[in-house]
Amino acid sequence: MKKIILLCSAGMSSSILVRNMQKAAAMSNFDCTIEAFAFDSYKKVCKDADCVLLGPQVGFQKDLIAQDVHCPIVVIDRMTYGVMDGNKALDLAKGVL
Amino acid sequence: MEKLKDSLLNFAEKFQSSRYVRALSSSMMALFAIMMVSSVATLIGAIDFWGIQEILVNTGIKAITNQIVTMTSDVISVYVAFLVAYKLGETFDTDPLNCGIMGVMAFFILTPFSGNEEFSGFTTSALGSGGMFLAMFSSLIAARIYIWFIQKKIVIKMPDAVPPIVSKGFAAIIPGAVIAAIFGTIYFVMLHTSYGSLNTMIYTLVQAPLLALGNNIFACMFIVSFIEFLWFFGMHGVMVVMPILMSVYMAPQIANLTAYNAGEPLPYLFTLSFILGNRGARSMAVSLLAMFRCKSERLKAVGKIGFIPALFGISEPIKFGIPQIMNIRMFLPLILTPAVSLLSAYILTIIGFLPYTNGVQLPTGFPIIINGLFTNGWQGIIAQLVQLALCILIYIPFMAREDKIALEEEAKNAAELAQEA
Repeated sequence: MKKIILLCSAGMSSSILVRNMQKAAAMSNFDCTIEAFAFDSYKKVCKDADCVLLGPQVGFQKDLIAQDVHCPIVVIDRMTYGVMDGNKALDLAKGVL
Repeated sequence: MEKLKDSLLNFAEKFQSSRYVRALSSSMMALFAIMMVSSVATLIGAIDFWGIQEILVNTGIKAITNQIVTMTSDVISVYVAFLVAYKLGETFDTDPLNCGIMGVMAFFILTPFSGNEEFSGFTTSALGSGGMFLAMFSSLIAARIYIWFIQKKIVIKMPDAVPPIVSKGFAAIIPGAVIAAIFGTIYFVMLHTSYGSLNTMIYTLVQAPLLALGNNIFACMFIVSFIEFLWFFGMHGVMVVMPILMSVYMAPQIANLTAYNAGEPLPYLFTLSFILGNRGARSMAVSLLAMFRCKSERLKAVGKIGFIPALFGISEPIKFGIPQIMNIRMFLPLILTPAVSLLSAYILTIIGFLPYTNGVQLPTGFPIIINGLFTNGWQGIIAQLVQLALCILIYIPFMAREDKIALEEEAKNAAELAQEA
């Protein structure tokens, strides 16, 4: 069971992508939990994550998070985020898990 | 272009990773909870049709909502003092609760206690929106001093057998006494100046000039364009400038809410919700154009994906999907539309059509257009529709060009596919 965390500024736009990723995970029988949170809460919510995906709009904060979060952190590319492509975002996570 | 992007990213990163800036902005986010309670109470207490106002007064509901508003927005600085210090403690991984308490203590020590034998107390002007700056800075300093003592381990040490909860309390004694002494001295010195208190001095020298600086349409138009300028480079613009927005426009917001609840004339035109709420339903405009005027399949699809989020003010799918980010062809409408929308709201206000924002704080993700009803009354909806129309007008030529380019790409891809087959 892998835990994937998505972060954007308020946890709203990323929650749309999370829903699409969950659908993609269910389709491919990939056992994982995926959740979206506001960037601010990263210290608490990323503790036991296996992988953290950042919305491109908060990508500039990657170094800051990396000080406290020690699992792989990936910034989602703009096109994937723009069309809320659950499959591609899930592949992105699988690539570093 | 790349160079500019790098230096902007650098700036945003440096700015946001400063612990003090982060403490300020995350405490303001936490403050929204209190603002929301205050806003709901204000809205309920202000219902004034079908004789409901009379029922509210007779049943005592009005007295309850009044008390709630007073104890939230009229003493907002107390919450600010606690939250800022608490959040700074969090960023330094130093007992946030003790930091928060130090922040409140420092703020209270600086605030004059006035009255006579029969009655004494604080004036709400010192604890309300007028005290916000003092609350922010005194609690930042108090918390920082506390953190310094903890880091240098200048604390009373307890034997290991003492439960942590007890030893934590003891840890606060030395830094607490020092902080109290420092702020007590400042209070005493200020008593003997012409200002009488640090709050009055900060208000006169810092808060009032800042308010004056931000209190015009050009400053506001610049800010909303700058937000989109940052977005253009892929950064969440609002998130980056939030600390600035909060420190300049939160106090007017609360002042308006307090006045609105008391039934007094609203003092400020330029508030947080005036600026953030009147940037126009831009993503809605783009989404509509993409769905109904574009012929490109890709743009149509992006418009559909982005429509529902845009209804709730979530712009990411439209911003990244079209894309408007790092797409120089969309730069102009991106930074132009919020400024033009804001200007239209300003014009509607000065001709006397649009009332001032009532200071009500709506949660993020509140549906667009309807939000105008809650912050400005029915005129707010009209103003939002005007802004939507303006945004659509501005975007029409730009979206037409995007459509043409997308169509060419699609034709090219189709031709390539046909060739391969």
